[in-house]
Amino acid sequence: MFIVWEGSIMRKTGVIVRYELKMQFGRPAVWVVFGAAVLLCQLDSFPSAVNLARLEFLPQPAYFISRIMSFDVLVLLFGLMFLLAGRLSVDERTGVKSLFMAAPLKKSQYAAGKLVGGFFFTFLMLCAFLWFNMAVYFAAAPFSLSVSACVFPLVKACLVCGLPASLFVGFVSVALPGVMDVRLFYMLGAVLFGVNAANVGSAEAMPFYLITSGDLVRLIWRHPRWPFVNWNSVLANVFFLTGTAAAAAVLLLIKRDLWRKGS
Amino acid sequence: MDRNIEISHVSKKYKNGVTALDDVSFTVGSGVFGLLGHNGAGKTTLMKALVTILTPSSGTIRVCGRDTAAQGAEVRKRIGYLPQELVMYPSLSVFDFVNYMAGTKGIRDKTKVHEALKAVEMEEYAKRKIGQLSGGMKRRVGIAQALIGEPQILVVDEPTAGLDPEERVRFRSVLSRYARGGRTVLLSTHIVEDVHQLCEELAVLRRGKLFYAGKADGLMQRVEGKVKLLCLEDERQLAGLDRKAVVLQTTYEKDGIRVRIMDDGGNFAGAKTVTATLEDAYVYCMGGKYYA
Ligand SMILES: Nc1ncnc2c1ncn2[C@@H]1O[C@H](COP(=O)(O)OP(=O)(O)O)[C@@H](O)[C@H]1O
Ligand SMILES: [Mg+2]
Repeated sequence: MFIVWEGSIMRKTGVIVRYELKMQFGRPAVWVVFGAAVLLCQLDSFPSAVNLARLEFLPQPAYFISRIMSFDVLVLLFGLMFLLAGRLSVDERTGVKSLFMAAPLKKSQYAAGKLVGGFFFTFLMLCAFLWFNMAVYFAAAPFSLSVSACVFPLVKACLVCGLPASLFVGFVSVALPGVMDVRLFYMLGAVLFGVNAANVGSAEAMPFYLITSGDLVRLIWRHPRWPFVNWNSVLANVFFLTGTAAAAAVLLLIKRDLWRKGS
Repeated sequence: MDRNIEISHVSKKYKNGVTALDDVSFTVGSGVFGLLGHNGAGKTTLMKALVTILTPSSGTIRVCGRDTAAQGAEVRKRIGYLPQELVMYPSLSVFDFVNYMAGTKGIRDKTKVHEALKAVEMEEYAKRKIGQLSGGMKRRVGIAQALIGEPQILVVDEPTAGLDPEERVRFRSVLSRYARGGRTVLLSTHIVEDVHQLCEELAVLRRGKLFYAGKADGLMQRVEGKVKLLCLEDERQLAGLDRKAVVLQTTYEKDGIRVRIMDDGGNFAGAKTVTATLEDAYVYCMGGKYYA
């Protein structure tokens, strides 16, 4: 009995997640952002003679992936943040929120569907971005590369850096505009991403609040002259990303007028 | 008695001080039930309370014997709701949208979605994007999502407003068909004709207060023998009239203005009494021609 009940809870959340993804992937603006980030990435890191002469480590796939992770992915995520910011207000605007509230659906199912939808969407876009650019790199490289030499750092980048970064961007972008003024949210987002973009890699421990260029990215590739990993800084980075995501979700859940009052 | 909805002493005062409902009590049986009232009368507020998305300031509502405040989850399993302003997601197809709403109600059987679309004659447009539909078609999709899962109670808020006559007729037949076999369709409207055609029973709200509830025939009895015909010479006489009686109809003719009134207070004992029509009853009920 309890299991059936639990199963149906997950199922309703799953339905919302599925349609959140369907609607997001159908938006032309999403693909404009994706295309712009791909273009930027290829201009900077395509294995052309010019770029190979400019970037000493470009022949290493792990370097390639860590390079695009720390900058080009940031551009992608910044765009997605804006596109995800309206995922709660769209339900108010279109009247669909009334349907959800009149349906046998709980506040937690609704919030979870929206949040997890935002996370999956961000994660899938980020993975698609990394895999696509890596494929171009692999096909165009004027030197021989083994598939495994490309796939290993790619998978690592998706899991080690991609997961926490997507969780952060997905949850925060969906939840915070629901609990604060959306203009304030955009300002905070712009400041955070601006600070991120301004932080170029250095040998020092990186600030914990970096989304894609913190010490997490050192787990994919390290400069041979500074091959250390500062584990405290890595953990601080992970905790910042996942902790902020969790806090945003809690704020959304305790917001009283998100849902029908009582029962 | 199979009274599917029991509303007792319901009041709602919004935070801005507006009293949208003031001690409203009535019951609703099976069939199509009309909720009549002008804009701002409180129809939407009452319907929101009924579908549990708004809590009344006082009073109780029972749907199929379940209290909306204490047993909200049980109530929600038994209702379908079409809100007054439903834009839906323009980028989704008709099928996807209805399937999505079905999913949130725990219905995963796709044949049910097709059945609902068939019931509103939208099956051939299942693949079309909602953003590309006409107003009437959107409203039909709205009905389809409300009646999926065949809820015992269907609550539809002004479904015919802004539709052309052909669409209105279609809507009425969908709703009356659904109401057979013990189900209840609660329909709000400010169009007298909707109720006239569809409802055996109705309730009339006026500025948050219940003005009448019961059989449509009962309304006729209220006006019977009180409808009178006056002949006025100019507009000035007309201007003062609505303070003394409810003006039902005015016709401008060459030799003056002919006015049908409902002489509730007996102020026009000398005027000619005429046979009351159902139209008279409704217009009276809605507060007369000059009631806003
Ligand atoms: N959310 C709200 N906050 C404050 N007042 C409201 C709100 N919704 C409706 N009202 C007011 O309550 C009254 C009844 O509104 P409503 O129930 O929408 O009437 P109807 O549906 O009959 O047109 C109106 O005066 C309206 O302005
Ligand atoms: Mg209304």
